[in-house]
This record gives sequence, structure tokens and C-alpha cells, in this order.
Amino acid sequence: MNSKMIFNTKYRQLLEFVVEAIIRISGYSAVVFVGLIFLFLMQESLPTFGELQARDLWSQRWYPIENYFGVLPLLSGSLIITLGAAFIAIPFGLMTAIFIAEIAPLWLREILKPLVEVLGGVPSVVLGFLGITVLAPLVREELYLPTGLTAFTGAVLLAGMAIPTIVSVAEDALDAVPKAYRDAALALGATRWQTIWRVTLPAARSGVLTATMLGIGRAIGETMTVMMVTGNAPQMASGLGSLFISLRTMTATIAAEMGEVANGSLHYHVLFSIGLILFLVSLTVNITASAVLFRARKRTERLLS
Amino acid sequence: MIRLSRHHTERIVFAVIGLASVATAVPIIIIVSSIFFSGAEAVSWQFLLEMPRDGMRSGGIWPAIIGTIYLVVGTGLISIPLGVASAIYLSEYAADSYWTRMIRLAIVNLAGIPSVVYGLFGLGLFVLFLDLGSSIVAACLTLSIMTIPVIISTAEEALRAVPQSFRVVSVGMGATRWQTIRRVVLPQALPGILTGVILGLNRAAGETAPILFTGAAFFLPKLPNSIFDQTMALPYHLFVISTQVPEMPITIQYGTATVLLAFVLIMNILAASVRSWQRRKREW
Amino acid sequence: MFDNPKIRINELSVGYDDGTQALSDVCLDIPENAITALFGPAGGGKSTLLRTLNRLNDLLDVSISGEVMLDDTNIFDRNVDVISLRRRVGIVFAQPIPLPFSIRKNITYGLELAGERRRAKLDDAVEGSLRSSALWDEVKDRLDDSANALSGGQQQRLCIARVLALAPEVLLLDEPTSGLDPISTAKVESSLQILKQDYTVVIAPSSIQQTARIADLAVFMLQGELVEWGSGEDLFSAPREKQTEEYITGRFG
Repeated sequence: MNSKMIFNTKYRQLLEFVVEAIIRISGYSAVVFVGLIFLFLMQESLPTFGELQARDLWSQRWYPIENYFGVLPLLSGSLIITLGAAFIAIPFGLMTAIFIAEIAPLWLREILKPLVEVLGGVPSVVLGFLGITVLAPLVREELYLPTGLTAFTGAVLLAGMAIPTIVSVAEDALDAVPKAYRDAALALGATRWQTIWRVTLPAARSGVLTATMLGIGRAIGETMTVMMVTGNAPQMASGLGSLFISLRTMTATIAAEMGEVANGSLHYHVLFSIGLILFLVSLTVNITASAVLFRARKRTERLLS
Repeated sequence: MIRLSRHHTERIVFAVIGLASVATAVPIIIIVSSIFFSGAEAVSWQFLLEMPRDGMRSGGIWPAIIGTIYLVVGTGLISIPLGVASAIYLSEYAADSYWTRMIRLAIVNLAGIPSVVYGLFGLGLFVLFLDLGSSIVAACLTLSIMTIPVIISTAEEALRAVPQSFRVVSVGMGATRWQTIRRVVLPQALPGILTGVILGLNRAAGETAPILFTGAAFFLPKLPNSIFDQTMALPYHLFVISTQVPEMPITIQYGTATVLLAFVLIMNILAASVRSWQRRKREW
Repeated sequence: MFDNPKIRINELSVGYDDGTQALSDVCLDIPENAITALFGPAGGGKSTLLRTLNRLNDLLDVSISGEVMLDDTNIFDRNVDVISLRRRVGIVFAQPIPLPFSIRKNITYGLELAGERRRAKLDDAVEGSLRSSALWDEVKDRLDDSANALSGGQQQRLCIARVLALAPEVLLLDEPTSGLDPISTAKVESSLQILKQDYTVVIAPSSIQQTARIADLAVFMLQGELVEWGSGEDLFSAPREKQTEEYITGRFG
């Protein structure tokens, strides 16, 4: 072994060590980011609870200029708009997924799949813009409302944002059901629909459930679209009738007001608290969704091994 | 009789499902085509390359375009190395341990955090705590953290698709782990990684909420001079001119929407073509 | 008859992390410049033994006891550079696995890893190793084509050439002809006869017949243990152990 090769060996070992260290550190970046996000949201929202009582927050009036920080209107606004969106997105999303995965001929599948992906790629401001210019006037005229900027308008657009997520996750799940299951059912004389309803869907149910949850998660967190089309009035939503009045969500409140508050003011801290709530909600949705998937994978492994 | 009704049921159910799919698909076509149709007349070289005038009511959208390009490039510079390195860790180094599961859970959660929460975090950490101010660099950092989970998961998938036998052969010939990754695994996974990078950056290009408080400017009379300046950006500009500016000509709004949508769709098509090119090219 | 062992294996045991014992107390001297053939039914530990000889098993979770002396060093010693070891002890697998490069790059890959960049050296290595594996005449005009365009037999000879380019001392072959047609198999076998003049060859043949054809030293392995060994002729004409005889005559396994 000549000196050059020894140098090479040393250099190689050093390079290997350095590169591996960098990669290992990067590997943990996602954990670090989630931790940092949680930490900062906590730190910036904690002062809220020094200045406000729980009942100040748990009240029906959001009027920051006069220090009314009741988050109930925002919570109920988010809730009803998300429910409305889910009510539209889940049936349409799942049916589209079933159609693409099980029913449509190949050529139609090749058109539908990219089309839904295109919808997933449309920026939320573009949807919001169309909401203002096209959908809202339509809603106002057709439903004889004083304004088209309503929770309903927002829910329709949010459904549009949730559908691509639901379709793609659910379609993956249906696609992953072994062909043998289907063949067996068909061989026993089941119709294609019976096969889908009794065999394929139950086999893919955890994936379908995950798809639904992730779609709803997407809807809860959506900001720009709802800010542009729901009218942004912090009113209490109570019942289905509220779908047709102007409401305001938690996300839109942060986006609309954070730009104008003084850093470190009470209003600033309250907005961070709302962010913390959103963060925790998305955490819950995602952890539950991945737990469902994880359990399902375990079950599949047991079945197939 | 029972047989017949079974098939009738099937026909009805399939019809309902088919109609629902049509009802999902048709609005997408309407959305895209109506934007392009109404925006086409507004888009011209002047519109693309001029500064806005008259309180943005005439002139072009050049600073918003260039701003979005700055943001995408900056986000790429940060998120690509970090995301790919993280994917390499998960696919090539990590054992299936408790900590690895934590990382995967963190990635899933990161992908699901609402974009406005990223904005809050960016404001708290980059703008205020690290004192970068509302600036291009703060916005890029914020967008990067949002983009990273997308890059990690697609890149990891691409790396895992490279056959294990290549790694064994390479190591058997005296390659170190890193040599094997750099010379064999990464080149083979490159198209898949590229697809993920484009999709991730695409999302960054279209997002508004994360840059609202971290670097987006309502209006700037000139282009930013450094990465510590604020910048205009296409999505935020569209938001501004469709909600904040009274008597805004609708053609300019449609024109801006067209440019933004075209930008995003072209990136999508690019990602899709890289993917299909890779499928045709690869030999394993 | 073999008084110059290249590798001495002493009480080598290998266990996998799922609890299976792949090798138990294996002792064997592997002679230089000869073909040592490990044969026996599947699961007998042949692959494990081969992969242990250049520590490719390090990639898996294995527990190893005993020692393997290559010349005068125990390959499990802490200060052994695994990378250099794998260059001295090259391995060819059952499936021909060309790397997704050109024919030329497949061969220069190992040298480039070690930092060799001189074009002339690399070209020499390409020609020399392809000649040694009897592939040169078939591919000399298309060295820059993808290695995947070669036939299975050519690919396997490329894999042998690729290892030879590193100028190893020992050549390990794990069922190198299992996927090949008879003509390609004959070509590989005849190139092995030439290669053994310069290398120590350890092979897990694909069949008993192949063992009989090529083995200088034949080693019968059963369930992780060495049953018996001897020169190819002796072992096949007069096996000492009953298990060996049953296996050779086809009443077993």
C-alpha cells in the first residue's frame, strides 16, 4: 500500500464520518421542527392565560379593539364550515375514488386522475378569487341572500380543496386491496358492485377512513380561501341556518389580524393561542389517521404472513 | 327476478357514482378554463414585465413574478439539501426503532400543520426571535419547513425503490456506505426525488398564509435589493388585488390568476413528465 | 496435497438475529490457487460462509464467533479495514447484478472508488479483466453500452470481470451459474479453470455435477456443519460419510 492510498483511506474515513454525521442530524430535522413549532406556539400563547380567564375566552364576543376575546364565534365558524365542507367532500371524494379505482375504464382513469391532481395543485388564493368573482354572486342571486360571502360559499370551496386529498389517499387504499380478493368474490357469483361493497371497501376501510380524516384536516387548516369568501364576520354559528350568513374561522382570524397587531400585545398572544389550538387539532387528526393506517398494516401483515 | 334486480341495483349504483365523479371533474375543468379564458386577454409581455402603476390598477406584475421566483429558489436552496439528506437517513441509515417511528410521525404531522400556523411560527422564530425581520430570507425559511415533509416522503420512496442488490454489490466491491449512496443509489433515485422537489416547491409557490407575516409586501415601488428586504409574491398579490384594492379592474385580477395558475400547472406537468420519463428509462 | 492454505477457518459460528444458527464450529483450510467447492442442500450455510469471508454479513445483524485467518490476519480483528478486505476478497452472486451503468463503468467502478483516475490504468483494467473472464471479444466494440443489454451469461461474466479488475487474492462465487444456460455455464467454468492459476477460488456450485467437474477440494455442508471434505475425485468416488453418499447419489435433499 503506497502513501497515496493510505491518504485516500484516511480521507475516505473522514469524509464518511462527516457525511454520516450530517445525514443523521438532518434525519432528525422533522422532529426538531415539530418540537420548535410547538415550543414557540406555547411560549407566545402562554401570556394569554395570565391576563385572561378561561371564561373570557369561552365567550361569544370577538371584538379585539375593546379587548373582547371570546373565541366561540371563531370555533363555531371553523366547525360549521368544516362540517359543511366534509358533508360535500366525503361523498363526492369517496365516490370519485371508487369510480377511478374500480369502475372507470382505463382511458377515463387516465383523464380523471391527473384532473383531480390539478385541482390539488390550484393555489388556495386562486380558488378564493374565483369564489369572490363567480361563486359568491351566484350564491347571492340563486339563494336570495343579502351577500354571497357566506359560510356555505366557503364550505363549497373547502370541499374542493379537500377532495383531491380524499380521492388520492382513498384510491391508493382501494388499489392496494389484493386482486385475489376481488377475483374470489366475482368467482362466487357476486356482481361487481357487490364485490366493491362487501369485499373491496371493507378491506380498504382503514385507508378510506384515513383519507376522510386527512381531507377534513386539510379543510380545518385552510386559510386564504375561507378568508376571502366567508365574509369574515365573527358571529356565533348555531345550527344549519348559519351556513348562509357570514362567518369567520380561526385560520382567517389569524391571517387577517396578525398583520396589524403590536408584537407582544394581548391580542398578539391570543392569536398565537388560536394557532396553538389549530396545531393541536392537526396533531390529533394526523396521529389518529396514522395510527389507523399503522394498525391496518399490522393486520394485513398478519393476514398475509 | 332476484338476479335481475341485483344487476339493476348495480346499474343504478354505478350511475350514481359515475355522476358524482362527473360532478367532481367538470368543475375542475370549468375552474381552470374560465381562469385561462378570462385571463388570456390581460396577459401580455408588458403585463408580465412591467412594474404596477396607479396603485396596482394598471401596469404589470413583474415584481410579484420575480418575488415568487426568489421565494421558490430560496426555499429550494434550504429545503432540498435538508429534505434529501433526511430521506437518505430514513432509507439508508435508520434502523426500524422507536426514534425512527418518531421521525415518521413528525413528518406526517409536519405535512398536516395548517399553513397559517407555519406563518405564526415563522413570525415567532425567524422574524422576531432571530430578528431577521419581515424579509425574503424569513419567508424562505418558513416555506422551507412547510416544504420539507413533501420532499422527504417522495425522496424516501424513490430511494427505497432502488433495488437492494445494487447496494450489496457496491459494498461487496469495497465501496463505503456513502460511496454507494452517492454513486449508485442517488443517481438511480434522482428522477423520483426531482418529482418530489417540484411538487414541494410548487406548494411553496402557491402558498400565501406562511408568507403573510414573514416577508410578503403589499406593494413595492421597486424590486428587492437583498434577501433582507420584503418582496411581493404572486399569490399574495392576487389576494391583495382581489380583496384589498377598491375599483380593481377585473382583467388584471384574472391576468394575475392566470399567471399564477399557469406557473403552478406547468410545474405539475413537469413533475408528471419527469415521472413518466423515469418509468420508461429505468432498467430494473 | 494442499500445504499452502490461503484461508484458515477456525471454529467459525454464525448466527442471525432471528435466532437461526447458520454455521456451527466450521473448521476448514482453503488452499491457494485451487478451486474449493462448497456443496450440499440449500440452507446448509454455503452462502453464509462465503459472505462471511469478506464480511458482507456486516450489513446484517449477525453474531460471529471463531476466526478466519486470511494469510496471517484474522479478518474480524478490530483494526482490519473492511473496505480493503473486500477488495482482496471479491464476491460474485447467484444472480448477475450489473450495476445500472455502461459495461466499461461497471468494471472501472471499483477502481474509481479507490481513487484511481488515470485513464490508461482504467482502460488496461477493463481489457485485462474482460479477457480473463472470456468476455472481451464479445463486448470490445460496445463498452459504452448499458450493461443491461448483455445476455444473462455475459452479465455474469461481466460480474466476474468486475471483481477481477480489483485484482483480488480470493474470488468467492455464490452459485454463479444458477441462472445460466449450459453453453454460458461451460464458458464460466472454463474461465474458472484459468483463473485458479492466479487466484484462490471458493465457489458454491449450482449442482452436484458442477462440483464434480470443477472441484479441486470439495466440501460437503449440511445444516451449518462441515460433514466431510477431500479432493474432488476422492470425495465423489469414495465418500466416507453416509450422508455425503446419500446426497451425491441423489437419495437425499
